[in-house]
Amino acid sequence: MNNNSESSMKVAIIGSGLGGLLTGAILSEKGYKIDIFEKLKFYGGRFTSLEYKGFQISTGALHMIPHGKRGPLGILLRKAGSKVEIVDSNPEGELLYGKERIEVRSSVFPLGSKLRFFKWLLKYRTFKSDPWMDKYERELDDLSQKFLRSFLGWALSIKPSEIRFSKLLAIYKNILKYNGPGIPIGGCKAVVNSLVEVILSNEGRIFLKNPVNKLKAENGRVRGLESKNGWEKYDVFISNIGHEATGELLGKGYCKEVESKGIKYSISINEPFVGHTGVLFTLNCSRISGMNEVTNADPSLAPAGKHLLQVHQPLTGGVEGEIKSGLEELRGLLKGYEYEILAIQSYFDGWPVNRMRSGLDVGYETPYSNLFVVGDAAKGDAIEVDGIALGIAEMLEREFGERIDLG
Amino acid sequence: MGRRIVINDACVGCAFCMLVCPYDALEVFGKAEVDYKACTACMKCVTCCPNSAITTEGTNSDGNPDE
Repeated sequence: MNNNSESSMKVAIIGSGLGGLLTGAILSEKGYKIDIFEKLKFYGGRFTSLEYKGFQISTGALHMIPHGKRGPLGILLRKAGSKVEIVDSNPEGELLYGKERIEVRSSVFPLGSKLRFFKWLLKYRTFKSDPWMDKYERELDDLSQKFLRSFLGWALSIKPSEIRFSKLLAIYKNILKYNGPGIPIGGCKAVVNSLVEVILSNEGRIFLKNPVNKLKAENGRVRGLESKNGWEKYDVFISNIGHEATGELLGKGYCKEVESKGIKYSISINEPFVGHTGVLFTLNCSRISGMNEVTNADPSLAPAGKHLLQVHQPLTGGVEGEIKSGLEELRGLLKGYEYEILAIQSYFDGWPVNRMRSGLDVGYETPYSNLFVVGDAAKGDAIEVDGIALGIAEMLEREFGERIDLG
Repeated sequence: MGRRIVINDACVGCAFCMLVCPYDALEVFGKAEVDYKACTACMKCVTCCPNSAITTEGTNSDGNPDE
């Protein structure tokens, strides 16, 4: 990309999800002129929340940042000038296994399974052996096998058969580097609100209910876009709507996405069930992979005296059947507790967990030299929104000369 | 007849409509369902649905057919 004077560079951002807003905030701080086009009547995409019966119900994410305040998203939020506060989870995670609750630590996994992992690592380094994880998971003991399934379901909404060893290894390395999750105070909405504040304070513009209908390209560069504002020219185009939908705007597909799907149960519960700020991995369950109770960190996410319990289930089969099975498991888990299911949200077909399944991400680049994709179709090798942040950091460094120290 | 909100097969159950409805007239347990006793056909859900899964049928209050 050409390095024109930053202050004169006009950047169009298509979509105001977390990726679009984070990129917009950082570039607006650097003096770029930012215009964001959003088709819906509010910004934040799958990373915001709206009040329902006094609860902050998210539009997608689980009011949680996988690597907490020291992770890639935490670092980029600070870089963007966001004032949002993130409380790191303690414990990071707990296993519900049989009748026991066990804090997630390396020592709880049997030595035999840890040695398997090093054997796979050696095979990968020596012979480039890189199978899908279902080939390997059978070599593990019961607890490690169930944890692997539960972790992949919770964090990436996939099964072991959908991720290769090398990708799991990359994600594992980032867990060692950045540690476990954290909860943004005020939930997802507080995060996106803080970014919008930065963008507007830098004279960026956000057009709601104003979808981009077309992109016009010539000689490998995108020249302009068409929205309710008419045709406009920009220097750089950043798309937060995925590679596939971006291709449709160009009238020329260049990438097919493979989404990951899921179901989220938002539950009002009178007494805490999880009881801490980390993730409870439900190893006993075959459908539900885990849950969190964010009100243990931020009581304002629910009405006084209530907790917000969020349960995630990766979606593999038909939605109706999966919800029925998930609800059965929930009834067993929450036996003896007073609770009410507020909503059962599902995520697929245009509103998925991830537009591009983790492990298959194709990066931020497109066939056009001034068009880049951010968001859940262009993640780096970290979990969910932290993966989005890694993707953005790479783009900012390579295309905008903006190096971000990721620790 | 009045205007009526209809949920079509494109609904994935994301619950945006439930969250924006000022009358608590929508519930989402996998798919969106309209409580017609509470719904005033104010159209907020129609404009917020990311999958264009909510449409209207019948005529609006002016007696004109919908687009």
